[in-house]
Amino acid sequence: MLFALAIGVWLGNLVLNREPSLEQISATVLNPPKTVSNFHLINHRDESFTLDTLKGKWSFVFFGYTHCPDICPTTLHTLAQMDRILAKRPEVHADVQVVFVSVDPARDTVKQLGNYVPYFNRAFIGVTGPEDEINRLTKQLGVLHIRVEQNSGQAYLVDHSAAVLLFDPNGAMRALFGAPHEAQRLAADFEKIRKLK
Amino acid sequence: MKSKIRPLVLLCIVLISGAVQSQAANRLRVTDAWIRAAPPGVMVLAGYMTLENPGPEDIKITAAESPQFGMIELHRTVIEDDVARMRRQPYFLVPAEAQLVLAPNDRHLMMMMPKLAVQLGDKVTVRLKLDDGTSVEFKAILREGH
Repeated sequence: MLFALAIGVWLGNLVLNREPSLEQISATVLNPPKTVSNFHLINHRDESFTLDTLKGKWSFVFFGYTHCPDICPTTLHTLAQMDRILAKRPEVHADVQVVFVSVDPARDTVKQLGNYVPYFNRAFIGVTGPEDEINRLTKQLGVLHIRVEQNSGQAYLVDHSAAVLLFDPNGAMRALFGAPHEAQRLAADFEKIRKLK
Repeated sequence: MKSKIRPLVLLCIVLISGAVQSQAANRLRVTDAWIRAAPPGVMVLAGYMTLENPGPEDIKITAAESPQFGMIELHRTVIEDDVARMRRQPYFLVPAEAQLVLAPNDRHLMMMMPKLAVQLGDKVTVRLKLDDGTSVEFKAILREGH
């Protein structure tokens, strides 16, 4: 009886710890992960945000702007929902951070991001900085953002990538989640991706 | 004489305006209207709803306004090749005997320059203007969501 139980536990562990196959993951996984060179940005608490800030944690990174009323708050709400799902598993949640990088630094000041980003989740990090430093990061990652002038209520809009990027604890881009985003799928994919070798 | 005519004229204007609005309300039904609550200081919000046209003719919504916002535009987000592009729309078409849903990551009202700080649970008056000159007024609730 005890022997059968031990075999069951052993088999269970084998299944749980098995490396997931890429077919089970809906995100695009980068193998090897894409390394990026350093950048110098500022978080919503007016502290330095560099490549080193990404290291030691798994980072979900989304590029957007606070004058965007639709897809940006929609995605941040989805990421907040994903965070609540991950929080049910403290061992998975402990080394996760969510970062919102502005592609509209002219309007997204540190103060503006400080009002905006923690509204969705107090732990979320808003990031802004000089335009050339933001471009240095987005160009390396292939993240598109284009300013589109308007003849109406807003001076301009910004077309931007709708993807959520996942960085591993080495600060390298490990996966890309395409829009539209769904919290349960983000969380489930993440748990599989972090088990990949 | 003049003082007797003025109230009559005003009464006529009120009655005609009410009739035009109720005519539009019969043509276009608005349900589940909501505006996504946003942090303080955000100057642009999005409004969503279900528009139902029970009649035999298409309806075009050409504009929107609200006493609580400086300006409202009709917008649509389109995601192509993982790039989100938001564009102003000249109108929203609600086909005959069909629905049009304004929803996140799709068509929405872009509501700019809130005149007072709007908060969760607030009910905001919104008026949609139709291409036949009529309009329909309704309340949209401020809530969280996506």
